[in-house]
Amino acid sequence: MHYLIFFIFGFLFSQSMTASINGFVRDDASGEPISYANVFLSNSSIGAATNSDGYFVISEIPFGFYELNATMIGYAVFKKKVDLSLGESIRLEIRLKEEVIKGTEVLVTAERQKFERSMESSQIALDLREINSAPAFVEPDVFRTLQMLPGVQTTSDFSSALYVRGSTPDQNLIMLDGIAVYNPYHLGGIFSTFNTDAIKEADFHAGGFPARYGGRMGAILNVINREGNTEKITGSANLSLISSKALIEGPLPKWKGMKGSWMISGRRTYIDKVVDALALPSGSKNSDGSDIPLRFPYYFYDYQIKANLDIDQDHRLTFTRFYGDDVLDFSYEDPSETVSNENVTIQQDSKFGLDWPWGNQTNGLTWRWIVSPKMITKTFLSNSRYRFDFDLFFQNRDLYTYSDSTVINFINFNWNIYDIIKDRTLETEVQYKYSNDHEITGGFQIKKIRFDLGIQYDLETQDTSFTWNPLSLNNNTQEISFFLQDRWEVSKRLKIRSGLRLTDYNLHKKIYADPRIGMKYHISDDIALKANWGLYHQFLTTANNQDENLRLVELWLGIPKEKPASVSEHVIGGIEYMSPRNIFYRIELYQKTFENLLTLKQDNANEYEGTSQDSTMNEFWDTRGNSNGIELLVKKSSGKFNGWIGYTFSETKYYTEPSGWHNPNFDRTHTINIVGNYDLTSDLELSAALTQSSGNPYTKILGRVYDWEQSLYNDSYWYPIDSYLVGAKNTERYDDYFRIDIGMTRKGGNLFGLEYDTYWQIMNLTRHINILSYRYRTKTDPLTGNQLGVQRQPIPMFPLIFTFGVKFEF
Amino acid sequence: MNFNSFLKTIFFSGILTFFSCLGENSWEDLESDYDHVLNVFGLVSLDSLQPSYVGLYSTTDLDEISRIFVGVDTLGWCDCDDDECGWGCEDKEIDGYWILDSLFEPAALIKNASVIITDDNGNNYDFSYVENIAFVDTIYFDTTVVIYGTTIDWDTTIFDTNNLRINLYIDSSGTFNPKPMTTYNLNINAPGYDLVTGSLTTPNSPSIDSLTQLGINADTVIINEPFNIYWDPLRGGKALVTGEVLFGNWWDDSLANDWCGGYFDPFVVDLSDNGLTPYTIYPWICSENLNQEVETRDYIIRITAMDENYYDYFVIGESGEYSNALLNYPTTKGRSVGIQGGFGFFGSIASDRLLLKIAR
Repeated sequence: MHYLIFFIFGFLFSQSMTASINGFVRDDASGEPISYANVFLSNSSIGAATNSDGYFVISEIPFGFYELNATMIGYAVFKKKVDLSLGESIRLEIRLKEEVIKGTEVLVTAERQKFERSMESSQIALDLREINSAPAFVEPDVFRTLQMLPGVQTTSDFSSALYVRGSTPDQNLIMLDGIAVYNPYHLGGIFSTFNTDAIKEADFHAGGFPARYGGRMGAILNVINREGNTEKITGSANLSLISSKALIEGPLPKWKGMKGSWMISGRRTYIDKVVDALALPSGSKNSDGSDIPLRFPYYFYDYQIKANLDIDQDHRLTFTRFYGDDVLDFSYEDPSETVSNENVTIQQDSKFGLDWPWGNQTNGLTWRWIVSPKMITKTFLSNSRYRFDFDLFFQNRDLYTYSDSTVINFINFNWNIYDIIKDRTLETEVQYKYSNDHEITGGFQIKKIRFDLGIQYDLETQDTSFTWNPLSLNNNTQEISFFLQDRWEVSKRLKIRSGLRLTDYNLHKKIYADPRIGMKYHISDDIALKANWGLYHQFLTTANNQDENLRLVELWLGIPKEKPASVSEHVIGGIEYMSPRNIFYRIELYQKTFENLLTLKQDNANEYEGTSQDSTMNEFWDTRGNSNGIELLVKKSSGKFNGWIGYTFSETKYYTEPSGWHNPNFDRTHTINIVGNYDLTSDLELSAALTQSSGNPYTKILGRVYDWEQSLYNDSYWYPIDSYLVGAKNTERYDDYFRIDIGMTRKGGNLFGLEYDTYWQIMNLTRHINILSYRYRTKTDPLTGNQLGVQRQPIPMFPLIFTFGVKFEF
Repeated sequence: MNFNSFLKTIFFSGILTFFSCLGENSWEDLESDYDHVLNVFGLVSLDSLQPSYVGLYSTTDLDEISRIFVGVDTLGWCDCDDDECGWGCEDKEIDGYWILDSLFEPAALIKNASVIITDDNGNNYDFSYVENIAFVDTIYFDTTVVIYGTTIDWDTTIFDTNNLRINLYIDSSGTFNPKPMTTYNLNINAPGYDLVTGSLTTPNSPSIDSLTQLGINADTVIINEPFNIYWDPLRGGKALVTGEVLFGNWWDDSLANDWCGGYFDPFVVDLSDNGLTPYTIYPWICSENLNQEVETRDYIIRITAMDENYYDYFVIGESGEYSNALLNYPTTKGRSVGIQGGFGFFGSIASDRLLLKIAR
């Protein structure tokens, strides 16, 4: 007991012998917080890096007089003299001014800070400059930039979905300001829903992520939006070939000591509006003979709002909202026809159309409380809704007019497919810097998700109506998770991060444990070894065709009661080297195993048995798999010339009962990505990207065979169905993929006082035909009709595409 | 940027955009080198209206001829005065035209195999290849027409004797009379191919007992009302239940297009259901055409018992684990149900029918 009292007093006394400095580092012009800024005391090894909120804390500083420095690439060094007394804690607001880089001092410390600070394997933080400067399809896109990183693959040019180390897109947790976004795509996957003008940074973990993240087996992407300019109202507008974008941001009015900022950005395609404005004839006419104008039936839009309110120096509220929709909407109306004879006049009208919106909506409210210099809590309440609502309708009306009566016959038919996900999450996270050696993070999360997936037919006539639901799947799932992790600096060279996440899934009567551990060991100041191991459970999946090369939407389902949760085990090891010239090198090996995956059964031929609950949408093959690979990355983030080279060797195999072990259709064995940006002059920037990879696998057809169908009514007959005999699944590969994109950005234009930049890009410069798939036909003798053989033609991905755009700032 | 530069930019952009659409994209002939196997359709039927037979083909390579033209079938004469045939008479000075159908048959027919079915008493039944069977095609003229200068009066019936190509192996002795719950073995020996064998056990013959609607036995079924059928219970086995409204000469029935009702999705029942367990059939709902008089039609309810092989092939089917919408034919890994050494199936059925009337 005496020893305990002595220990407590001794500890408290030692704490009071030291001081601490905490605060925020922000951009002086806009007030945006700066992540990974290095804050340190001159002539000492005492320092810290800012987190994604720009917050830092340096503790256990012996009292005395110091010079505080803050450095970040692209900014002048900040210096301030501080005099620390016993037990004193100082809060600072540090503002860094932008400056063209003159010396190498800043370069070394800023990039090295990331190298020294980052514990997790496979983590890449992309800033806005890197996202905007990489060549992209029509306009910058964060997913397209990520696809250029090692370990990240895609199935085609038409998709921005991320396949990461053998994990499919549904295994990735995609977040916008911490809120999960389901189906984060526009235009069937060609673009992501994230407007890059609003992005501050994107934090990407290809695997081995810590216990604070859960519910997914693959990768984590957290896209963090800008907070808004705290100093003045500014904005930008961007016009590309596809869409127009605008962003406006500024400070909130100050009131009773409270201050803050806001940011609103939006984007919309405009081709439909241009077509409407041109009022071109469609070729069809109204019943009065007037022309029906041509309409372009598709558009997408999204907008984002973010507002921050600093109630005082310790409390901040942040509200975020995202709304985005794709809309495919067209209808066709036959001109009314009237026929008559001496007895009756019949008027016929018919109409058919399609109304298909799909998109995401998120709302989030975060309360950040700096409890003490060493403890920060964040409480987060959010909802995220994805809905896909395909509506095909047909209406027909016949009006019979007799001399003494009128009869109306009509038929209205509606076919609706819908998938709605509603996610409500409450989350609290506490970060406690127990000491300079231990940083403990803990928290809990309650996530309620409702899935509604269904098909409905509605038929109505003049004397009957019925509704048929061949598919109606809905479940309400709830995940309650607790996590605790400790980042322990064992010594100057060795850091260990260990954590545990426990999840209770309401449909299963068990607690799922996800232990995770990571280690970083500095062999020298420039070389570090990293290793990670962890278990990752997932409680939802998608019901999509595994063979589709073009995935327009994803159909989400919660893991049903009778199926176990999917789980993956990650083992990652690597070595990193930061050269004196600030070039980052990394070699990483990984091995992932997958258990309890679900693969949708296709073409279930059992049409005679079963009810709607046995429909194909909820029939799955139990699947397991593994993925192994080696990744190399060389990255230069600063200087006139910057970019990266990445190489991936990977092999992914899945097992299902009918197909055995096979490569999934996204598996590419070798991939090389080279991305480069060069500042030719102060207002001219060139960029280029090259990708060479193995072709995607596909199933080869070997020959032809007959299958038979039956008809057993009054007469019996069986008829042969010409069928292709296929080989083992996915044992062939398309030709290698190759593409070069180049781009140029010209800055410094001025139009009526508005500054503007223009950008030009050429995709697939060499016009290489990258094969998406093949289409097949039977060669037929035109004279006899004999079927002679089978031919195929490649369906290409992107041809050579030239795009340009302009961005204004005000 | 001055105007000249702007023009150059637009021109350059247009050229690039134009050339972006060009590219090589030609069709290529596919080849394959696949060891051919026999493709078998073997049916043992206990149904008196359906004979047993074996169809025998070979798999084909992708560069081989798979279908050949063998002739023309005359379907009928279309008069240009008839509204429904008028579309073919545009801009031609003709009175009408013959409707012909091209006939094709698989190029990979195997015509020279030895096909033997053996029962469990050791009796062998030879099945011989038959190319054609003769049947008479009846063409009735309800108007007077002139065809190539020849006048054919109305109310004339022409009997056209045709050979129907069947290309099947059928019982040459005429003594093959399959029995229920009996095992039959198939043996196929074709030159250049591996031996194919097969085995099945025939199902019990089902028997429909009765049909009730609105609680009473019915000889006439009213559309849009559910009805129950009853069958004699058997020891196991599955059966397919189907129903059909009979129109006779459908093409000649002016009211056929307006008919609805009585139809239901075929479904499978378990014949071993104890007692007379009914299965309630819910016909498709349709609206009554107020302008049509009440009429009755012939209506057939059929129950077809299946052996395990038939059930496996046609009901369970192949769980398609590969699909590609760009392929012009479906895909299969090749199924062998009831046979070894080749693809296809060897199965058996037995049926019973109930002939009723259906009214609306």
